[in-house]
Amino acid sequence: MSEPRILTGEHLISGNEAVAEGALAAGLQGYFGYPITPSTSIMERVIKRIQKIDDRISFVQMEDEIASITAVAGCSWTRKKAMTATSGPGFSLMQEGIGLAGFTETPLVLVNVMRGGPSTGLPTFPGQQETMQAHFGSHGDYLIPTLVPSSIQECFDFTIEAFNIAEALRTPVFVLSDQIISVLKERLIIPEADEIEIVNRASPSNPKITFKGEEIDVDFVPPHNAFGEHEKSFATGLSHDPSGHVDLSADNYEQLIDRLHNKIMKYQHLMPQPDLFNIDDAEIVLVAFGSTARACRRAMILARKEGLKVGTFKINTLWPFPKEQIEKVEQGRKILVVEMSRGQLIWPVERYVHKHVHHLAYYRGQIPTPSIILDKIRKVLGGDNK
Amino acid sequence: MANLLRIKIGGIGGQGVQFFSKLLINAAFKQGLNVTATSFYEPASTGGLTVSDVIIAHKNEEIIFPFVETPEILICLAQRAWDEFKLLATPRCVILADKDNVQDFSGEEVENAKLHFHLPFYGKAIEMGSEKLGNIIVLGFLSEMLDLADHYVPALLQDLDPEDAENLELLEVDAKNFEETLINSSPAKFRENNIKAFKVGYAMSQAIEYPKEKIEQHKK
Repeated sequence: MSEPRILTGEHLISGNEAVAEGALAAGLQGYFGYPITPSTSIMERVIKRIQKIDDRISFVQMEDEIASITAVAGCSWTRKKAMTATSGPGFSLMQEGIGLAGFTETPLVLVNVMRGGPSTGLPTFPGQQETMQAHFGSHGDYLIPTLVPSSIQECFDFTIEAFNIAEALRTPVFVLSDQIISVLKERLIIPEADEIEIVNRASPSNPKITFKGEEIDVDFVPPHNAFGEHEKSFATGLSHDPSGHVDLSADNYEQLIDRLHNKIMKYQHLMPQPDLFNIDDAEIVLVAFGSTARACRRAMILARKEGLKVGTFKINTLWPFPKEQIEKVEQGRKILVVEMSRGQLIWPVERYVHKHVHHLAYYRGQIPTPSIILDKIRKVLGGDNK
Repeated sequence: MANLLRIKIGGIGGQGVQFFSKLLINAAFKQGLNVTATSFYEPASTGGLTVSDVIIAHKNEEIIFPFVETPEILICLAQRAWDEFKLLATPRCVILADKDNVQDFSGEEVENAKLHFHLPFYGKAIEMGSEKLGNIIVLGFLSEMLDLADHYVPALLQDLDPEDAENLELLEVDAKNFEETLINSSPAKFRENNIKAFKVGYAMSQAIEYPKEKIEQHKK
């Protein structure tokens, strides 16, 4: 019995299942992956669902993560929407392929469900220790949009956004989830198919595309000359000109590196913007993303019951970092970064707020609870600068 | 508290903690309530600690933080779970512990709890032929406990007098919804036994005379 690709309606499912549903709703055509906890149930959901959908969707369990990311990139070069999902060690193995995909402007979506690391670390416990790896994991200069869901609804919505950004800007896009969100079960509302915006990448014969009502500038994002559609198309990891031909000249290389960066920054405003809670009268603002942002919001509510003026800055797009928004928020306020790592999110925050930033670094394979965060808020407002 | 019911259930891998939690939230969700359930398990899935935090709320009530720091209901199916979570058992708490698997069940946490039950859920399951039915028996017990006609336990959980608790639909997850979820979620060969186990647990709660004077005692 066949099922629709988009399961419009209300569901009670996990974050990983919502990611799979988001990918299907966005038009997934190829999934290539290798199982690893806690990301595996994304793959399992995709396998289960594509067998019941009439559209042809390819799935291959690859021999490892290096093959997975490379197969995803190859699939994308045939103008198909492709993805993979992994965790911790798998994300490390994929770094070379990520650099290749970024440099060849290959649209793809990679979901990394963060667990405690390094190495095998804490396979079934949460972490947020790939914050910087998502930015700087592969060698060379590049910038990959990174979306950070904190609810099951956002797992669905941000996965669709990720595919759309990937197609509109011809870039890999990361969805950085974590173990808590991956297994959390919560309500998901899937809208009608015609209410979901779907973006398809530009081609030489159809170079004008729009994303959220904005026309994408071909000087920043060249139309994709995909394999098999024209007499010749080129994809190389060597420095190349906009048509893909090798060009190692200094000027060309510099322009290429700049353009790859600038195309992401130019359309940063089309990516999920931060959610601000109770900022106006806040003396202290909690900065967090993913599951810790939920702990922060709860801590904020508890703190306000005590009369403490606390706000929350919930990051939805981690990279590029919401620089302008954090600059506005920090004025005259104390900043407390809360994260499940020894100190990664604090780096961009410190860079952009230009003052001392308070820090709750919680790296115990557990989420910092609202009471732990509240305790820290009391200390910071009480003048403890540690 | 009035708009949220927070339940923490802990056991060891193989006891069916995650399945229990799945059934509970599905039954509540089916009834139109908003729910969340977290899932914690150690890498050794058999024998390791496994925990699920369930929050049940009104449909439009947002559940911001899905973990439970102060449970209204704490369910411990293994000694390790009790040892780990007994400090969370505030005087607001109703505790269910399995008699055979939580042998050392004592202390001020037990005495101070609003209600505590130390019952042979898994013992009954063994009598039925499979220890694996223990989680379903607990579910049947919880279903009856939360769906009492006189609203006794729901009222207790909200510091209300049962007579004033006519509008406590929030905490009532109807047994019919539990049963339907159980039927839909069970593989065919386990279905019949699961329903039987659910009814055994339900009957265990029916047989208890809930001590209403405890409400008055706590009001003082």
